[in-house]
Amino acid sequence: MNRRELSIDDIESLAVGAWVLGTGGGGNPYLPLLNMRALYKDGHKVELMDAADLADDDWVGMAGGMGAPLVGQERLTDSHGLSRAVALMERHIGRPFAALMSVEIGGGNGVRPLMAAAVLKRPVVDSDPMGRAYPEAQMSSMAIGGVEPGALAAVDVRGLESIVHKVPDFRWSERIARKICIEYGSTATICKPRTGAQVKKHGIHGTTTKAIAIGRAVREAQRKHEDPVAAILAAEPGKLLYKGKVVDVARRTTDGYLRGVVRFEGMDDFRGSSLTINFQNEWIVALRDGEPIAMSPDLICVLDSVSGEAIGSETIRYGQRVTVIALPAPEIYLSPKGLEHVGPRAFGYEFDFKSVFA
Amino acid sequence: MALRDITLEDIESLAVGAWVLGTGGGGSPYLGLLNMRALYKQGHRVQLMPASELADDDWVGAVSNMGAPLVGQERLTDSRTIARAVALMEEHIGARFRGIMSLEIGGGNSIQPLMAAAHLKRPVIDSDMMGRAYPEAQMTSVAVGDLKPCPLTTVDVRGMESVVDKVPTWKWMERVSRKICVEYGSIASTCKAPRTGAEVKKWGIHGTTTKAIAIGTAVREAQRKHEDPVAAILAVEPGKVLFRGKVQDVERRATEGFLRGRTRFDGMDDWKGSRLEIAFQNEWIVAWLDGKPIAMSPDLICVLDSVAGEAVGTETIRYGQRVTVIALPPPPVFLTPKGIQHVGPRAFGYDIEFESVFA
Repeated sequence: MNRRELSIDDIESLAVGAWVLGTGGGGNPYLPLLNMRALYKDGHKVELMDAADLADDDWVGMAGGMGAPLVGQERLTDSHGLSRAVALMERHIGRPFAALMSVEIGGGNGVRPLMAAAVLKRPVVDSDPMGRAYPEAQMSSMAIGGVEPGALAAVDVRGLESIVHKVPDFRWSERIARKICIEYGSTATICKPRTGAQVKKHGIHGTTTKAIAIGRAVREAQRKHEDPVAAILAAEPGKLLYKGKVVDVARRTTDGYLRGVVRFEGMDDFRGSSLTINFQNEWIVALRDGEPIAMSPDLICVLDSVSGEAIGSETIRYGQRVTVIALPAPEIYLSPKGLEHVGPRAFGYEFDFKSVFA
Repeated sequence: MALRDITLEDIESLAVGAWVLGTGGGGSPYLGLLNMRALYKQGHRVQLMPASELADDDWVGAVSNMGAPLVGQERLTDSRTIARAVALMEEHIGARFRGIMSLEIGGGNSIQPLMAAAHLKRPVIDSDMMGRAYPEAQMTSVAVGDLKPCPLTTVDVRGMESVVDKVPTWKWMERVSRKICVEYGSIASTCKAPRTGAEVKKWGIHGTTTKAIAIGTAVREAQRKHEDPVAAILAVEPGKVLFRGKVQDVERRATEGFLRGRTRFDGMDDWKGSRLEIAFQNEWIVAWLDGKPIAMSPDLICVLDSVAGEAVGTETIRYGQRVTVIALPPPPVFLTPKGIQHVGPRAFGYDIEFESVFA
């Protein structure tokens, strides 16, 4: 059995790395990190396990937050909400979870399962169903793999608890859960059950470890006063797309999402060139001088040029100096079925996917 | 007092009587009636059970169709959907219901428990939680009694199933379940918070299925004998005629999962020269005669076809119809200060003090 204990230093790195993989969304990991610092101070510990060590009939609880990231800036995250969502789902399926897992490694949701795991004393699986963050339920590797959408528990801080028990497909799960989430105030804590067999077959593996490695590279570069963006590109096969500063942000919280457009003016090698990025919680499409140069499922990461840390769609603001990089998408999204679920057309853009890495 | 068989003839009368008690809402019982005719043809039978027969620790499932009545005209009633809502609740709480009851006796929701009962082979309790129909979850005798609002199951014809497991208040139950219902297409089959036999006996409004059957029987008998069916209703119930006239204007919109609007009537006979206006939210809520409020919730405002004596619903009322508007007294639980707080005119946003037609 290959389990390893995560140190608080690992979790500090995870918060930085998951924010990079969040591609603007998934919510800022800062508040989950504060929770983890407090939990570790109280003596809690979390173990990481490989999906390969799950039994086929084990149950795994995917736990995280849902909603508009901007709202998470006001209604703070707490570990009890997460453990309540997990406990509600365990009651509903009548089986305990052998382990917990992220609903998406990107952003705060990369850290949230650790909060429930600390309180409930379960290991966290080193996998997730996105390898990044995405705004909608049908955009996961599970949905693309044809796994049944399954049940979803949604709880909130007021004590509201609902279960979406059965739906014909992931889009309906998304529609119903989203409406519940909006009524809770556009933020909810959720848990979905998966079997060990489903996680092994359809999960995107090693993503917690990957996020920790990215975060560690950034933090080490910061300590050594080296270029943290270069450190990320040394740890991951990414590509630098643009350097510039934010000149305009149009943002609205609508339908339970944070949508909008950010405009950048080029600096250094990109002087005179403008960049526009459209977002729906996450950065979806980047257009340079009007031409699409990067798009989902490729990861578009907007980083602070000095600290190398990610900037979220809810916190980006006028004047910030940023470096935009692309990271390769998980394989599953590059299949025809994958592109149908998360390619530019899935977000309403009338062009075909063209990879930065092609 | 034991269980008694409900005949198909009883159900035909129930459909007519419940539509009168629906005060414009609860959905037309017609599609439910068609389902019951088909189920009885297949050999299903339903029994009626008085609440007094329940043991204190029995569990009772309260059911209703939720949504905008207008949508029910397009997405037809399927008896299996409501049975599934009940079965899902039994799975969720891990208990078997002794009987099934109506959330609201008014309109099609009086027939919903019969459809579930036929499939699941349970008796229907001769009680409900409104004694009429109302649009929102907190407008029930059990909400006035501060009983637990959760859990609630919602099911639709596509196979969608959700459970609202916990809420702090009835209003939150209304908010969350309404949004699920709207997303289903503004119509869902629901099983409400399970009630114990003790709760039903204490907070139920009793004998309402029998009462609806009696009203329907009176109307149908008068129709057969070519007598005045409105007078026949007023002979079996202590009601009062408010107005006679014809529909001159209807404003209707399906919004936030409700059917809202206003209807205007021109007076006829004794009311010639007078005008009546009724505002509705699924149900008829407040009636103004020449600008002055003359009847309001919780009193039952019933708009009846002047010739047939049958009720006219908020989703089917239309220009030119000749109607008689009557009032029937509400269940006493709604006349308490707490009751008025839940269902008086202010609960619907009208800044007027409740004044009973029967004061």
